[in-house]
Amino acid sequence: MEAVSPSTAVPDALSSVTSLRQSAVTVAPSLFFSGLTGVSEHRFISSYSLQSIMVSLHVCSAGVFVAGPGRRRLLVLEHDVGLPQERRREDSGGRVRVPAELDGEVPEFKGRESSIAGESYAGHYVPQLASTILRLKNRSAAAAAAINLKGINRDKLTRDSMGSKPFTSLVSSLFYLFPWKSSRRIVFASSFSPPLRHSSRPYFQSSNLLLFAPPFVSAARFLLLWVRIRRRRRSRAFGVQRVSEDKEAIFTWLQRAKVLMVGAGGIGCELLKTLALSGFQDVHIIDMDTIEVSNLNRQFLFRQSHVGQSKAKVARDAVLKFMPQINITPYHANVKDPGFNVDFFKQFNVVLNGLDNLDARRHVNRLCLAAEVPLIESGTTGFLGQVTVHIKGRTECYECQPKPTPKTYPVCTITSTPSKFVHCIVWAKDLLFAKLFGDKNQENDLFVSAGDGSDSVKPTDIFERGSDEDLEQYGRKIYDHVFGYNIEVALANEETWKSRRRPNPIFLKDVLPERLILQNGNLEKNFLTEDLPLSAMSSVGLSNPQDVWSLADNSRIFLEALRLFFGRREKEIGNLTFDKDDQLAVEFVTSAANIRASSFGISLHSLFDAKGIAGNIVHAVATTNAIIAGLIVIEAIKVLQADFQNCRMTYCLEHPARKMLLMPVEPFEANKSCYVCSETPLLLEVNTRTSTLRDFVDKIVKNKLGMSFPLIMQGATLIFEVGDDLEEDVAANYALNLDKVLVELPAPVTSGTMLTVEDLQQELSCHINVKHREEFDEDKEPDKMVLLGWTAPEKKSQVVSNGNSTSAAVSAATEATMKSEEAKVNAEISGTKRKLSEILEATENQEASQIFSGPDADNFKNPQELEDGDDDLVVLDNYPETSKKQRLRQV
Amino acid sequence: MDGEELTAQETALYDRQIRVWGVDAQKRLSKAQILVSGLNGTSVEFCKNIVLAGVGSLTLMDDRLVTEDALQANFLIPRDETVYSGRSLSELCCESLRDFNPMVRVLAEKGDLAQCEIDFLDKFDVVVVTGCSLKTKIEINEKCPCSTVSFDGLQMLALKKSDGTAECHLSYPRLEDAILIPWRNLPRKVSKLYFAMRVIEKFELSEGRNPGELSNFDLPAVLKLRKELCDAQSLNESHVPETLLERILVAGPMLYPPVCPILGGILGQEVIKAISGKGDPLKNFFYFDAADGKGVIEDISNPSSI
Repeated sequence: MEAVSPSTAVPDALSSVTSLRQSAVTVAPSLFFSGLTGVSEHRFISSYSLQSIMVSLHVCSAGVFVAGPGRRRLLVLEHDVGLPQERRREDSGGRVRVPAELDGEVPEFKGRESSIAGESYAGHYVPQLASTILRLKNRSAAAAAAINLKGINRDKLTRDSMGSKPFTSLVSSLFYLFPWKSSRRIVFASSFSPPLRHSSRPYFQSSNLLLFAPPFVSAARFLLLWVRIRRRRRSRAFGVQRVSEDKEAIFTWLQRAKVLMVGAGGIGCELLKTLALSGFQDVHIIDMDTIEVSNLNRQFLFRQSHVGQSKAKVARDAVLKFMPQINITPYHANVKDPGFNVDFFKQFNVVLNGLDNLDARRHVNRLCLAAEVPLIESGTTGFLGQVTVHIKGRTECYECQPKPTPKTYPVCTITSTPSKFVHCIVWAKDLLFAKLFGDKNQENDLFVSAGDGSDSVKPTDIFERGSDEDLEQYGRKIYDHVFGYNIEVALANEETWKSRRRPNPIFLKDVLPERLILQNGNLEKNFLTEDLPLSAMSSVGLSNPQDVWSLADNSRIFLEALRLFFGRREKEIGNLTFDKDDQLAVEFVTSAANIRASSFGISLHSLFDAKGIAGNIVHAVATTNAIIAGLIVIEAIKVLQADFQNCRMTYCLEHPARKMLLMPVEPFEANKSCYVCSETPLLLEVNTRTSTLRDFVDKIVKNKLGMSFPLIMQGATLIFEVGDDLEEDVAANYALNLDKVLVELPAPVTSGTMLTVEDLQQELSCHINVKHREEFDEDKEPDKMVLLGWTAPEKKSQVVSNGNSTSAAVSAATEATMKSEEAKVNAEISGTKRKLSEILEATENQEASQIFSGPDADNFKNPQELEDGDDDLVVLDNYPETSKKQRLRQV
Repeated sequence: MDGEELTAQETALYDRQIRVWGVDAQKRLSKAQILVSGLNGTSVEFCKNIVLAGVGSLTLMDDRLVTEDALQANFLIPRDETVYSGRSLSELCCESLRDFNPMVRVLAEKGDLAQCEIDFLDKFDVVVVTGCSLKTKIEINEKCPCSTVSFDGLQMLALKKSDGTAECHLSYPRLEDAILIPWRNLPRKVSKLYFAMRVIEKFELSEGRNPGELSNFDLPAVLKLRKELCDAQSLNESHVPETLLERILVAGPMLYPPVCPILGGILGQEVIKAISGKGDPLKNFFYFDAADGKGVIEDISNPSSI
């Protein structure tokens, strides 16, 4: 069905890019022109055409970026070439002006051979810019000398060239202006997306490929191809209408649909099976995980023998057994890999998420928005679940409702004043475990406890194990130091304990009589059976992970686990990170947390519970995943039939008042203040004199905005970017910037400054207005900066303001083991559909715990990223402006 | 090791679900005996769920051979005729289900549920019936009570579905009582599917059809029956819309694949609640219509008969 079959087109496309790259580097510098969605191309182009100039027309920001070699001289020209977003579909007439650089004002660009490239909206602007340039050349000799335009580079100019003047007529108007002889050709090159850099990936499956003209075709041939493609696209669109009336045809339509599934876990397995049974023929599936034993109770495509293998690949093979004729393309990779870019997403008709974390969900949401592909999002926890549909321009996007980002704990709560078991877990896992077994060079706050400079002993020495030091001795030393000595030191700081219960230092001699410690010294005995994972529990003789051990048992396990690590897994020491599937690590963390808990008078927990908290494990059963998968497919079929009016968000939650178990709700409209799908600027309150750029990047850009490859600009100055293709001096410069406080940056950030933060991969750009603020509340605003402006819509606030019911529902859901039971309480609150959606923003893993908080508290990398046990579950915790609003209402 | 405790293997495998329903519920699950009669897209989903959850044993009954119809929405049977070799659906499904969880005994039983003796049914904690006539369902329901003492009235699950509409029935009251309740005694706003299913059942019974053996040509006769029933029960015919009946007839034995996991999932979850004693199973009818996406619970019992 394709005009250019992929197999023949690939070499063409490759060679054209290669030749263009060579020409760019060695002979003919090019001028690239890039449209709104062409931002992601910058990186690639600039790294390959070092000598070239790139002009990017940035439609929204009304400016032209000129990127020089390595992009470090990226500068913004204040030309009014861009049009307001809402006008971009209109004919811009003569509004496109030639950037000054091309006009001879920048001598180094003068006279260079150039071509103009672009994609998307550039389909509208490229011809206009070209014709403006040509007119200019016709008028002025200086301009003629300055600009040496060799052609336009048709990349993906088709998408939005359907303004009042079609692209074809714009291009043909060029023919009159271009002083081309018959021997000259317009250079139509193929994609500049990153195929070369990731040639192993099937980028050329992209449907865009159809649109690429082979290199150096004649203009006439190109136009012919292009028109043909347009026509086919249009008829396909009409086809949608037809099939919705014809039941039989639905099946054929499904067979043609190309579906991307992200996640092959609990929901993913069910979903892949249901898609296959429902007649889908072309499914791509991305999952970076490998199979674990604890997956097998619900991820039914996997068997014991598959443990350790790629989920995506095994799932594919399993489904092919009962549906051999369909195409399933697995990717054992992270969806955040740069290879899965907007072009990759564009090839799909719909994207289905079965993810387990907020980060990836946000990433996929952004790519779907940029690629304009409908997204169906889902999540489950226990017997609760939900499916939502997100279609750009029709419904809210996934991020229109601010999601709770992991709550951060004040450092001192973890290091000196724990009041909940979860604090002890964080301490044991992220401080003690990391200190003993992880990277020694990593910063570690384990000993802040002494506080106020009274920390005279350099504790690092304690952790060095002497070369002749017996493991037994070493273990005792560590134990007494962290549970005894450190507490004693902390107690010396009377100020801390004025209003708190004083902890008891615990020394090993008080807990375990000498002989007991030495009793289980037979290290080798354990390892006769190599198959079994190392377990301190079993060597100490404890078997039930549900039991809460005594302090003495915990102490034995602590020592035994430490000994096993150093005795049997010495090679890994220095590189270990906590893993919930590592039995010995879980035992160590459980025992250490319990010993610390008893020191601070906090109730102890079983290994099973501690594992849940430390590993951030969320309840999951097969049935809910199956139900949700069915609902996803029903919505996906509606989306593919363009039956958008009937799309629903569905909650799987018992609602006795309405006699509902599956509750459909109409999708919400987009939130106008959403920085992701609208362009509303955000407001950052920060102490610009004390906070560094690093704080901003880590806490706001990465943590709150969820960007992976950010680029930060202050006005026209690029102050920071992340990328693996930076030149050394550039990277060094950014590294310097990172540790500067905001006011001292090369382009100072002060109150009133507007920052532009972009993620090239996600094609997301947002503006942040900075407001200086001196004081921050250490407990409530541990980040010492507050991001505002991303607020929930009005209707939501009303629900959220219903404080009592919210917390009741949430704590009920938290405590209940049988969630659907307790959810009845929740469901009785009338008019809470928006709130329900928040509660149910639950996911199979991490995210749910963020929402349900309590014992499932989340923590992955950052020790201070933990949900507080009894925190009110108002999602907007991190957005004080909204919280204020709520409080007012309650009054 | 104490026989009453879960083994380390079980703890590792069931970790995530124990976090949902607790250790005790898991232990009860591991002792439960389930019988499933009739294998179609929905009951196969149910079987998968219950095997993954780790019940004690699952017995399958369905002597039919593989046909195109039997394969629809069934992911347990490989599309490979060489493995069929005259084996019944229950034998084929049994094999795949064993792989899902080696700790569950999955058995295939030959025979017809309708002919089964009370002694046989007595062994099971839950009996799931599909693809048989209303008459058989009621009979089974009559035979079962003695076997389900521990489950407080949960006697039988009967389910039936067609074209995205489905009925899942948890009969706390006897099934016969629940469907013979005079319509005027029903709670207000009962799902239209309840009435539609009664009309269809009656039609199948009077015509001697197998369940789902319907087509669009039956519409006039079904509409006539609707009128008779509505008149007899003094119910406005608008409660049983013609379009709904038509959808059910047109679908006939066809399954809408995405509905199977939804229904099989809910059935599984309610059976797990019943066995584990964690939470009450829904009472006592569940209807799902893919057209509007609503999954509705109807409590239909005759106050006089309880």
